[in-house]
Amino acid sequence: MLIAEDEIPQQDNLISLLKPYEPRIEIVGTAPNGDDALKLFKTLEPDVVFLDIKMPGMNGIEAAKQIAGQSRIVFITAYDQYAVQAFENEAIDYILKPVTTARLGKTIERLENH
Amino acid sequence: MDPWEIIMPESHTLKQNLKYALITAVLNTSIAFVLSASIYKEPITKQLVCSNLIGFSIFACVRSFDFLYVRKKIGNPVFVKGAGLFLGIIIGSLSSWIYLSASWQMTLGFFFKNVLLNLAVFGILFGLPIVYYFSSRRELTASRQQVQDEKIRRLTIEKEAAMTSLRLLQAQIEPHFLFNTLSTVLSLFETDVEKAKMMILDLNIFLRGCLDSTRKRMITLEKELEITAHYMNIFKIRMGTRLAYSIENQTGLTDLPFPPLIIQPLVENSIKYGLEPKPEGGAIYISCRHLSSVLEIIIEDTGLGLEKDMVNPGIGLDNVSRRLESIYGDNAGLIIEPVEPAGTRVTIRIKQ
Repeated sequence: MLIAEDEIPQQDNLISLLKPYEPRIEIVGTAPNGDDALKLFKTLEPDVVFLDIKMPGMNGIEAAKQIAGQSRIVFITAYDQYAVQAFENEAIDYILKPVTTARLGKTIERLENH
Repeated sequence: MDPWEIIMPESHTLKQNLKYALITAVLNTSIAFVLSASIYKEPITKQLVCSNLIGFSIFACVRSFDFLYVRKKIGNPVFVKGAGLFLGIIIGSLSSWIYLSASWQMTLGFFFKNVLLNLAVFGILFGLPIVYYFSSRRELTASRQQVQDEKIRRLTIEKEAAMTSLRLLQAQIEPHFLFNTLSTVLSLFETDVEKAKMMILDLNIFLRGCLDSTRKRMITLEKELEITAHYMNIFKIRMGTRLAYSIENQTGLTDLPFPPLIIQPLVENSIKYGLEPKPEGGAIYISCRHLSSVLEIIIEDTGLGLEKDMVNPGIGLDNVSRRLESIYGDNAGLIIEPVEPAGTRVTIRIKQ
């Protein structure tokens, strides 16, 4: 799994929330913005990408457009207005921050069923 | 509505002119009695007639010239008074001579030698105050109106300042800022409790500063810098290495009065539009100096620069600018300029 999130505390939080799911879920890389996320995506080829939406430079939605079809995408964001756009880009899920263990659990379920 | 008011300018309504005419008549009559009692020892009727002839000639001429000035914009206030008075005296004197010579068979020569000079002198003596009174009334009203307008303007600015203060406060407790900050605090509980505590403290102090700003018109420069520092600390935790900052207060004045929420909104703009959208982030430098009774505050960032900043100048810049104007008037100035190689600099100068 690749995580794209610009704020370190949020990144750390997500990583720690995902720890219980090892080794099913392995975090192969993190990126602080859309451009870096795409670069890492090309080299690492993860099968799941967690994308924050509001990031400097290229945002999550734009990055998703480039990844579309090649991986499963989950959006994690503070803003709810991008939900429709997100699903148009074939997102598996759209989680609102702050992320809770329960909500993350549902996302993992969805991922495993896809 | 007085039908005259439709065609006459405000100071030339029938009512006004009748009022002035009455005053003139009273003045003329009093002058006549005074002269009769003191200098001329002539029959009072003659005094009365001459006095009124001169007085009303002056009145008619000055009012006509004034009307031309107000309505047709011919001439200027001085010309109106001077020419009106002059012409009025001549016409008044001539008509007096006609009257007097009709009853006394006075020759023109005699008239010129003895009477005209006196008439002219008294015409000027008494005419001047009358002329001045009538045409100054308007200027006096105009200047009173100006004072009134100035008062209204000042009150409007003050009201706007209060409204913008309120809006500013609402913007500070803007949902997204609070939400994102609390979100980060929540995240930090899992991974770094000490940082979480620090962040809550920063938020606490910052919000208290905001509340204070609605209650106090002025705080101190140090206090404002403190509020701004805590605000930046919050973002520093969220942005990590993407935000660096430095605050330099070289004024040496610890209790310098300063309005609240002037520097912080500018820093907010720098972060929101300059640094946050920039992948590598940047730095904010705040410096305060006090040179030859001018307080100079510079807020400089190495962000995306002006074009991006100006996409949404919004609350911050506008409010700050207007509040500075309402508090310091022309003594305060705010300049925004780009910085090389990238970034924006805002300079505030306040004459103390």
